[in-house]
Amino acid sequence: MSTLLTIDNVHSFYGKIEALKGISLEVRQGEIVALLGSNGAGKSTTLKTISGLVRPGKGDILLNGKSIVGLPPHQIVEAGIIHVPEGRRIFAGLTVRENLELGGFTQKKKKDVIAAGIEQAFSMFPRLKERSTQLGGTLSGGEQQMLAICRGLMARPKLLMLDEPSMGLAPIIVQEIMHIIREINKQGTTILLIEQNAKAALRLAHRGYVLETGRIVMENTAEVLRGDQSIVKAYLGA
Amino acid sequence: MNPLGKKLSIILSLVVACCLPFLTNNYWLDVATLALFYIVLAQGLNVVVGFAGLLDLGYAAFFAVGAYTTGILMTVYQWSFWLTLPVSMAIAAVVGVIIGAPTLRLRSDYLAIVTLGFGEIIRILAINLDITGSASGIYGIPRPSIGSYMLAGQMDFYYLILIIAILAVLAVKRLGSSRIGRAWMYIREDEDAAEAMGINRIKMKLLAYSIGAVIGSLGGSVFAVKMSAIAPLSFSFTQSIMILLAVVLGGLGSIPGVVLGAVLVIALPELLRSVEDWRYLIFGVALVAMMLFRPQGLWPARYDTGKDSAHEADTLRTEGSDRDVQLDSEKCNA
Ligand SMILES: Nc1ncnc2c1ncn2[C@@H]1O[C@H](COP(=O)(O)OP(=O)(O)O)[C@@H](O)[C@H]1O
Ligand SMILES: [Mg+2]
Repeated sequence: MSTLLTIDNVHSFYGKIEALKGISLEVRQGEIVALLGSNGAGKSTTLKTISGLVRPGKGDILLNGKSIVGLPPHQIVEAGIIHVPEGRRIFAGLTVRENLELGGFTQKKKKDVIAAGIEQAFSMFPRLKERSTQLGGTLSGGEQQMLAICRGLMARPKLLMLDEPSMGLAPIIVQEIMHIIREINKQGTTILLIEQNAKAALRLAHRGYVLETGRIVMENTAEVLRGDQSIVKAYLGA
Repeated sequence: MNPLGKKLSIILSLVVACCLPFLTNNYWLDVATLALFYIVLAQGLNVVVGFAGLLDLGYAAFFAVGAYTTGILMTVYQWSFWLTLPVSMAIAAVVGVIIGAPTLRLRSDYLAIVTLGFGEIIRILAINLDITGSASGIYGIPRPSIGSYMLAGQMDFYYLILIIAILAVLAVKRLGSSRIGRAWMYIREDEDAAEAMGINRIKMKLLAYSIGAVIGSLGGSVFAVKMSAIAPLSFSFTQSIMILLAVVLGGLGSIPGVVLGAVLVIALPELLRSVEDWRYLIFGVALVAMMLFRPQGLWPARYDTGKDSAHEADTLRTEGSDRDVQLDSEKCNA
């Protein structure tokens, strides 16, 4: 498997606060990689740094071997990385369809690509189709998350980064979301997944990294991490 | 409002607007003309503040750029009025980019301060430069003509600005529902999320600011020939605030709302003329009351994320099943 994304010794700051203290990780083509860690460990900051919302103070980020550090976020989207942020951030005042159209923004005027993307989303989530003219804000939490994922897919990313997609959802919905993530991956999209729900994430992922106060403290295959007693204790709530 | 009612009210207001010169006296026709100017200006500012969410406190500066460009070109260089229009719009666009490029990267409160300063700079320049006629301004601006017909009467200008106002409304409406209009809205609602979706934030903001500038300068150009004399007094900070008021009063981002807001901002003080000294006080109290009880404006835009949608989100969040899960996941993380 070739490497899609490489993060090399990245340090990120919020003012003087060093949120990432030299992180290195890689995501290979076709993988699902889980990024685990407790609250405030720096998981979201890692994604924000990759997507250009936070500029790293030091270190390099490579997509297919080319550095993307310093590019503005919209160019990083165009390069093929989509970040579905924490809390879904769909537009409450826009309809489901309009939200999806937003996701295809970088497709410019390619109406057929956007239409195809919307069709794909609707076939993946028939519930979104039923609600296509409903305002985003009136959807349930699970439906909003599905919408956020579909909106991200509209840009046809090489790498889809999901920040806590299961946050605040009922266990049965979480299962559904996890299932969909696997489907998306099978269809060829590489995924970097942040989860607090480590149990669910490690069932899904190929490999995982554990982040603690801005440093990676562990990395291994999902299988090994699932069996690791310290992880189980710290993050699986067992 | 249903589509039929909407169409009817648009047609009705157009008919009223077209017949108005035959229905009123000169005084009210003048008020109506001013209201039409305000519709043009407020729609231009609506693109900046309403669509893109950029607080501009110096919008009258672009009004001034248009008025002075036309005034100078017509009096000093004897240009035809119509030829001055593209020039003044181009100058406004360039000035918009010059002011916008460095400031639109800043947070919006800084932008407000910079635009406020810019408005003052333009006004002070107009007072001090010879070419703008210093404090007394430019007078003797010739009347424009179409073929051999010279626009001179009150009614001529009323119809000229009516046409411009209609064009401005149509243009802004189209912009609002275009791909670019969507991008502005996304930026306004959630800048980070919009950026994460691949929208070039700075480019889009700059575009909004420049388009607003162009529309403002168009209003200014027509204002110059209508008044045939312009002076710095017309482009004061108060002017910027009154235009902003029209936008906020009507409803940020709402096309019909902003038309209504512009008409009210001009008409209300006139209607209150009978109470003389009290009128601005009453006007002010009415505005404060409005902001308290209807902060989204009289005729809010559809894409409003005011109280109502926030409330919806809250009820969603506290829905039974979701609450259970939150407890559940808290347990997991403990
Ligand atoms: N916008 C911000 N400004 C300042 N500090 C922040 C900001 N966002 C996050 N932080 C801090 O950076 C650290 C990492 O946060 P974050 O990446 O959100 O963690 P996680 O997603 O793993 O919960 C935390 O200590 C947090 O308080
Ligand atoms: Mg986080």
